[in-house]
Amino acid sequence: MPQNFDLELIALGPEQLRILPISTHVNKYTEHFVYIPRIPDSSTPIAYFETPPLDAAKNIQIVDQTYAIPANSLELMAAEGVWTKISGFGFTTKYRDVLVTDVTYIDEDARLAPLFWKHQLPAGTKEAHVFVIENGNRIDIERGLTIKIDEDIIYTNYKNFYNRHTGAYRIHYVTSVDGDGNGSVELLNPVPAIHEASWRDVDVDPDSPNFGLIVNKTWTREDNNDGYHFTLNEGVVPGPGVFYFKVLKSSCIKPLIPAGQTQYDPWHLMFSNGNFVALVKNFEEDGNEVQVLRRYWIPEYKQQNFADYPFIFSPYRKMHWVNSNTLKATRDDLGVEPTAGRHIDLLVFDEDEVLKRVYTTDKGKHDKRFSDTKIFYESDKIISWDNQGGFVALSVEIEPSDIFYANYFYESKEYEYKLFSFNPIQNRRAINTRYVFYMIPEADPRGQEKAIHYLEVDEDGIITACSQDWRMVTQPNLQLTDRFGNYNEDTVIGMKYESMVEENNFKNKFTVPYKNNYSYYVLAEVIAMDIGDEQDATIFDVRRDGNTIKDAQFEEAIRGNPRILQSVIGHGEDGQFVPNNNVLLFRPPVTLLEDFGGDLAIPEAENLLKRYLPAANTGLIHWHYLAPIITGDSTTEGVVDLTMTWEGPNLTYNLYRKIHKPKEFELLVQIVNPAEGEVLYKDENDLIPGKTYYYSVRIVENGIELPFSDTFAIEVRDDS
Amino acid sequence: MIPENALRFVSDEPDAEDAIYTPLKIISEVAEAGSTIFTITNMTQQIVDDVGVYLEPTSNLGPWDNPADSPPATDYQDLLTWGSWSKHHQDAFVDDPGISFLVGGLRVRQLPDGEYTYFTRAAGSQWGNRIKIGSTIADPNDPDENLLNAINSDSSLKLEIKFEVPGGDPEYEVVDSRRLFISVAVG
Repeated sequence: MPQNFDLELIALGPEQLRILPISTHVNKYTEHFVYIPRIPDSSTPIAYFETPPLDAAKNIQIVDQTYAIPANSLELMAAEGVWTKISGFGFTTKYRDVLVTDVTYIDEDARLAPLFWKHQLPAGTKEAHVFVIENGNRIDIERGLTIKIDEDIIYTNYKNFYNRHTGAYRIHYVTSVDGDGNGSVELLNPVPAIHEASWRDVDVDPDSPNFGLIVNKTWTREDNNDGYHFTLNEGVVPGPGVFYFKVLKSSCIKPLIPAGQTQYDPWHLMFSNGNFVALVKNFEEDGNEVQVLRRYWIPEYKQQNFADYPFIFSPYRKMHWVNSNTLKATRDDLGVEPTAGRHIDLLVFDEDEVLKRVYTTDKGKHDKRFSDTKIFYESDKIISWDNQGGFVALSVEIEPSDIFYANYFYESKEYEYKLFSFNPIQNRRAINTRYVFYMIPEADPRGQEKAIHYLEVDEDGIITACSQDWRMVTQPNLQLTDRFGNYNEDTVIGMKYESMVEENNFKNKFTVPYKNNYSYYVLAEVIAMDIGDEQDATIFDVRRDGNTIKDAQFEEAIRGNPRILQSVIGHGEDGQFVPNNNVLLFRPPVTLLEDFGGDLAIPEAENLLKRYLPAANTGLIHWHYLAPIITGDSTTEGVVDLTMTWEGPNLTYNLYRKIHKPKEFELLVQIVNPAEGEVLYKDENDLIPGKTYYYSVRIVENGIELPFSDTFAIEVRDDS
Repeated sequence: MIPENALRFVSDEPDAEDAIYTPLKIISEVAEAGSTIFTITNMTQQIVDDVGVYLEPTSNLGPWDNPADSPPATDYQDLLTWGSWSKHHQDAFVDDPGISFLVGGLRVRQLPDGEYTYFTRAAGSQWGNRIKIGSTIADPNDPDENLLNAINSDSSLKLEIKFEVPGGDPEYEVVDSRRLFISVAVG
């Protein structure tokens, strides 16, 4: 039995010298499809897909259920144009937040009306005017304006207004001149006309006769069982006066749409930090109904992240462009106050999200470098702001195409429910699931009891989750398990949320105004929906029927991804030629052959072309060259009009003609470098009417005459 | 653990003198570029005679990331073709060194002093026309007879296999650089 061993032999051929023209370069093929916002140079764009962006205002549906307790609805009392006039020292109301004033004006109906807000002018102002810039809608704001120059105060009910969706705005500016002739223009910045007394209003000068007394015009508040009692201090000289007050809507607990509104922000539902007392129905053991006073308030509001109560620092929040000098934050009630250390930093990005400038109100940061960028703080460009409306005015022009973010302090009048984000990008559970927010009365802040809770309700109306857990002090644990993981008999999971038929449902057992002693208060039912409509989407897709790559970019696209050539776009609707029956069609250019300017003889060329052909395949070689298509007619006796297609610049058309088919062609005319468009020629040279003539063209390219084109035969017109 | 050179292959029948399987151990070493020396050792207890060397198309197509350029049959035929040319021209133009451009191919000789023999279609292309190697050894069973082309038990012989690329006249014939795989069988 023979033994084998295998040899690898390397045959090095003789040294050869060839000059190779390099005409290809290495490309990276497209390997996968990605969706990216900007196209890098190495990629070939294939499709563009755009839909309207997510917006909390449109995608979240909040059904406000707070009508269950009428005391929590201030629609009538807090409406515009409604106030209460009192004369005396104080008043009592069920609600915590009020506006108080003693300044009035005569409105256009010739009635006396109070002005609840004031704008502080710079000290020593001699003259002041208010003017309005508006765009878009006509907005009717409560009228009223009084300028008290000696107090440096403008009393007004005007507020600045901006609608994010329509771009409509109405902004008030105050121009003032002081005694030295210095002028200033600033945004109207309304603050309550009479504010709550604080330590700043107490006279701390030990030598003053009013030492220890409240010297400014303020009010104080104390809460008692009936609600709140407000006492008015008229400064040093107390005395009964005429006051007007108005209840604010922020006294109520209402659900509000999230402050973060774009697809990048978390969508945290907000509840206005109200505090009120209401009479609700409770039931005694014998079934008798009694009216009980219960207080609803949100203790966890105080546990929010206050930097300087009641201000919360908010970094990197979006700002909207209003006009070329004004920006608006996504929320009202900013807390910008440089003298108290609460500054605002404004970051301006251009549309490619590259940082351009940074503005700040903090003079201490002026000309300091921002982080590790090349941008320096500028502290002199923010000139004024409207805290209540959330507007910031700059002394430089800003472009609407830029993107703005700001770090600022805001006065938090709401409780932001941070335990749950409704943004469907961040929280997949949020979409198309109903969440019910409710609150418990008299929540006990010790022991971490929270007032606001939520239920997750599925599409059959069954409760699948609840946030009220074992940490509750005054209320039961409603989750599935207790603290130790054992089954909790009080659980509501699996119970129906509401039902007309079944008595054992959540609303019946727990909430007002049904027959129970819990008196939970349902605030809102919230759903985040996918309201995208295919009709609203803009789609450009190269792969769709009828779409194609622009001629000018075609070469670039193929260079980026040569495989496009093998698609419909590259080879056309019929695709690439793939001959059947193991036949391969070669179309080499005829300029390879030595007769036409090349180097190869025909048999040599054919050998080379077929060299690497698999043995089972047949190769057909079809030599390819430029040749026009000739058409024409003869409408006049003895004249033939020829039309040839244009094949390119810098070509010479040698037109040949013969009268008999077997004869040789004779050169008729040379058309040198015709202009783009059809090449026309009128042949009147010795044509015999009635005879048939044959025409063909040989194109001369780079001095080489290419073979004959297809022959065109025509019979010359004979009118006889 | 049986050491390698203690391997013996014999038939069960005590009378049988023929080995069931005649293993020949082949070790190679590279002598210089273009040639390799193979040591063939007879591992059996009998004398192996009528030993020759011939070519076969290989089943080894090289490493997976750098395989052979042509099918093994092509390499086999090409080597035999070159060998045949070389032999023909060597014989015909032995006095004319001018036509050296076709000489090339695979040659084998037995060391230390054997003559080179080309692998041609007539010699070394199959088992039937294998190129004989080995030496003449007296038959232990029959003192009057000699065993030709034999290798004694436990002894070895050395072969040198040399490969040259047929030099081509660039105007007529050029052999491109390529890698060939061939299987050489000794039996």
